[in-house]
Amino acid sequence: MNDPYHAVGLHRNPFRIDPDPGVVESLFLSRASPKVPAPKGRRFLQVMGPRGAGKTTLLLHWRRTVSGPYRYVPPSLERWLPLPIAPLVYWDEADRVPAELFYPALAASRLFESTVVVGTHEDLGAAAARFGFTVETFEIPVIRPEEVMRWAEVRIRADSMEPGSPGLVLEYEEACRVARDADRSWRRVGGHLHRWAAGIVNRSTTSYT
Amino acid sequence: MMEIEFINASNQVAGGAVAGQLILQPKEDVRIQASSVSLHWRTEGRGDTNEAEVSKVDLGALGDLSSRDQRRFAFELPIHPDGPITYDGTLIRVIWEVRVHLDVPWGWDKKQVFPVRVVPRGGV
Repeated sequence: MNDPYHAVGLHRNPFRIDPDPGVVESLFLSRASPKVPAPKGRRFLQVMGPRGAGKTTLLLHWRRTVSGPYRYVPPSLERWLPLPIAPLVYWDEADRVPAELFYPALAASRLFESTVVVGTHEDLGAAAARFGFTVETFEIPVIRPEEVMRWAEVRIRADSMEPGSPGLVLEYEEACRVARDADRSWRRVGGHLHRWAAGIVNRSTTSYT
Repeated sequence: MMEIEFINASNQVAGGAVAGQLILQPKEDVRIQASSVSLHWRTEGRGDTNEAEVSKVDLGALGDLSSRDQRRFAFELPIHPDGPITYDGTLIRVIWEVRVHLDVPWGWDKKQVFPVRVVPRGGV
């Protein structure tokens, strides 16, 4: 039995969710963003955006360039675990951290003149400014059709069975539709393109009945 | 190096068994100190992933395999009747596969995956 994706030259659906957070560097889409943060900058850089906007992906990309402790704060009771303190730290989903932990962690980071990079849904800048940090906020920008095209292309290429094989080709009009519905969320883009790819594969293969 | 000849090549029925022959013909002489054929299902798509091993047959140590010889090993892997069936949806897929694992001492193990389709009893 052949996998239906093999019929279009793909190992699998290129837009499936990877259970690991972030993306491998080869799939990272370079977009306009602040420079890679330097350690010991007494700086509070908050990356803001809706769910699936790519905050974690950006934090992990920076961390691969300039390493530092990274902590993902889950919604569960584990959000009560202490935050790491270091010359450069990454606190992801920082708005979930209880105030009883967040303010002492900010105070300790300020003592170390740390650079604190956070992914957050809520603006935490006012609290950081009170502790003497230089606050910088980066709002993940709106997704453009050209970015959807590039984002899709690298994923399709990564899952192509033969190098150079087109597998699937995303038309610009479809990318415009996807970008319009994305609402700044790459997760929505992925969901849309997953359905798009599955639709093409299912139409190109015979029914199982 | 390896192939599988399935007894029922098209569809496997839930509650039945995936049966066939594993055919080994190595490109070069190799020693196999342990080997197994197992049946798995896994999910893939836009949701959380999940997977399970459904059944497994240990073929044991196969000894020295010569590139001049072809060896065949029969296997039968039961499919439990209440598991998921193969599904190719637009948001999620349930994929069934037979995995072959050959343990090569002091070398890279040989692994290969063979997709199978599991349908409900009575067909789809």
